[in-house]
Formats: sequence, C-alpha cells, structure tokens
Amino acid sequence: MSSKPSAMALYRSKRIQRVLSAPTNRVLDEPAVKRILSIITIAGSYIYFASLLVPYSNKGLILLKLMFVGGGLPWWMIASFVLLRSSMRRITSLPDEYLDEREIELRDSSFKLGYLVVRRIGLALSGLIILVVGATWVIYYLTPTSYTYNPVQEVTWYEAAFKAINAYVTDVLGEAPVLTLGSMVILLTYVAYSFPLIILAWRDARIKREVVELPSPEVKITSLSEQFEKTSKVYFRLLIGVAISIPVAILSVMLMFVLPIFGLVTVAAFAFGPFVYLWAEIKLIMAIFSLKFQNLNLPRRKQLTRLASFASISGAVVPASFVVAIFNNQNAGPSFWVAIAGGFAAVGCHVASFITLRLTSVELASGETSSS
Amino acid sequence: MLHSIYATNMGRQPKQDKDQLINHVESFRTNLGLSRQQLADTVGVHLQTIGYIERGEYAPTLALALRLAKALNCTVEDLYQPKESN
Repeated sequence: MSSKPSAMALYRSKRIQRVLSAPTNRVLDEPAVKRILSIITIAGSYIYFASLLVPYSNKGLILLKLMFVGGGLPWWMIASFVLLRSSMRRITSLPDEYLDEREIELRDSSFKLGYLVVRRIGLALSGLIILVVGATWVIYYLTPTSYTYNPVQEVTWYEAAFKAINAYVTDVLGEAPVLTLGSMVILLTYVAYSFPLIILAWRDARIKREVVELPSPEVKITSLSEQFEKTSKVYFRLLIGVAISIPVAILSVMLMFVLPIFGLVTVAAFAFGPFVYLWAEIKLIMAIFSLKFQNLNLPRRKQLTRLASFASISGAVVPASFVVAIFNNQNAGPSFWVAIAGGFAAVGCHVASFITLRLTSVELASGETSSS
Repeated sequence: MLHSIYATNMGRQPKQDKDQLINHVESFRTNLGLSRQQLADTVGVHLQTIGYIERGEYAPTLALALRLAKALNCTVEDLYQPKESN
C-alpha cells in the first residue's frame, strides 16, 4: 500500500525542482554581481552597527542615523541578503544528493569558516567589554578612595572612566533601550546568517565561470517571456496587496486605541508598501538587464528604465520627506504633503511598470522583438 | 571588511611543493572530442566542477578521479602526475 507523500515532502520536492530548473547565466550568476552584493551586505552591517553606537545626545548624528537607518538601510540590507541567497541558492538550497563533491565541500567549508570567524569575533567583543567595563567597575568599587569623603573633589582617572562609560551607555540606550538592544540582537542574527553566504559567494566569484552552451535565440526569448509573465503575475498580486494595505493601515490605526494588538497590524500594513517598492525595483532592474544582455526590445527597455528611475526617485522622496517633517515639526505640513505625493507617484510608476512588463512578456511570446 | 578578508584567507593553506600536481584532464578530454558538459554528465558532476578540475583549482576525490579516468579511457596516473617527475 503506497502512502501519499506528505505536504512537506511535496513542497520540498517542488522547491528542489524549481532550483534545478532555474535558468543559468542570470545576472545574479555574474562574479562581479556576487562581489557587489557581498560588499553591500558587509558595508550595510557595519553602517548599521555604527548607527547603533550613536548617542542620543548628538542631535546631528541622530539625524543622519534616522535618514540612513530609518530611510532605507535595513531594506537594502535585506535586499542584498535575499539577492545573495538567490545567487547561491543552488549550493545552499539543494540537498547533498543533488550536488557534486566540490559544491558540498565549498558549502561546508564556507559555513564552517563563517561559524569560526563569527565565534571569534563574538569572543573578542565579549573580552573587550569585560576588560573595559569590568576592569573600571572593579577598580572603582574596590578602591578605598571611592568610599571616603573627598573635600577637594579630585576625580581619579578610573572614576572618570567609570562615569564616562556609564554615561555613554545610558546615552546610547536612550529612552528606548528595548529598541536599541533588540536592534543589536537583530544585527547579530543578520551577521550570523549572511556571513557564511558572503564567504561562499566571494569564493565562488573568484573563479572564472564556465561558458555554458548558449541556447538558441528562440529558446532565450521564450524563456525570458515566461520569466516576465511570472514576475508580472506576482507584481499584480503585490500591487493589489498594497491597495488593500492602505485601508487596513488606516483601520488598524483607529482600532489600535481599542485593542493595542492592532498596533502590530498597523506596522505590518505600513511596512508592506516599502517591501513591495523594493521588490519591484529589484525585479525591474533585473528585467532591464535581461533585455539589455539579450539585446532585445529596445523601446520597452527604455520605457522600463524610465519608469524604474522615476519610481526609485519618488519612492526615496517619501522617507526623506517624513524625516524632514519630524525635525521641522512646527512647519511639517509641506513636507508631509510632499511625502504623500511621492508615495502616490511611486505607486503610479509601479502600476505603469507592471503594465509595461506584461506587454513586454506578450510581445516576446508573440515574437515581436526589435533588436537594437 | 577586515574580518571578511581574514576569513577568506584563513581557509586556503599554501600547498607544499611535493603536493603540487600537473593534470592532463583537459588534454585527454579534447583529444576525445568531448565538451566539458559531456564529461560532466558522464561522471555525474556539475559543469563548473570540470572547469575547476582542469584549471587545478579543485583536486577531485579518489572516487571522482577514477570515474574521470574511466570516462577518458586512461588511468588516474595518466591524468595526474607530481610536479617534480615532469
């Protein structure tokens, strides 16, 4: 009696088939792209870490921090991680029976190395904290002068160090210590997940890629058309999701005062828009490069390029305007309306981009290609 | 980026001279008129792995070396020789 495969086994099988049937020679397979994504991921982690160390009393740096981190850095970090994972998904996603010995060795050694380095960095940071904070703390509490009355009010170096460290840490935590500490934990998790992937991608990018036997032009066009059709279907669903998320966000803001749990719904609803914006930008850039590399359909490629550029500019205006509005609270009105206008412009550009992508897919499928 | 540079250098140990090999995989393959994809399919590895092997960037396990030798109608000793014996 044969047993039906479980839902998990079916999902796993479909996921494996999807990875195996993924087109080769994607933009993400280029060594330069892997290196750029690795650099963005590392740089993003460092910038994010540096932003966590900014004390709240430094207004200038806090403004920079809000613009960088609040404006979009976490999204870029997530995007670069997702793209990096996609570029290496064959090695990271497939079970051993689908990989050859070299790929298994590359994967295992990269993850092992990533673990060893992160482990040592964690140990070094812990040691530094124990040494600096612990030592000044011990010296301060064990020295007799700290308990005696000192009419001259002389401050010893270790008392000054102890107070300075405490003041700095208090300032860094600010009035939202849970947020700051939570951000540090999230950053540590991000580094733990991304660092082995960076090593894997960097090593894979070192070696010149084999030139795969190129498919015929007809096969390339059909494959591209199918790819664009799939992307535009997901694009359509996400745009519908954005349209739904706006009234959901408004409703949940009102309900938040009745049931605080709706605060989470509000956050999710407001975060969905930027997620779709970022997803769409990445997909549009990949579509433009695909058309460029295949030397296909120049008018549509130019349209997509213009739309992606307008969408990215108008989308970037939204967080920048909100930040200006927050810091200019007595005259926040114009900045607020600029943000709203930017948001609507970005949505309009993305709707136009979806239509253009769909038309491109249909034209490619029907064989209408105008090479440059 | 410092810890990343440190990391990518950590895993690569310099090979001693006595471990350096000369490999003739590419010449045997081209003599038989096989493409890298064909050889990869015959021995059951990814196309990229054949490229790595031919450029000396990856040393195959004994099992893979034996499969390569069989596919190329030669012995493992024909495919790989120590550097000083050349």
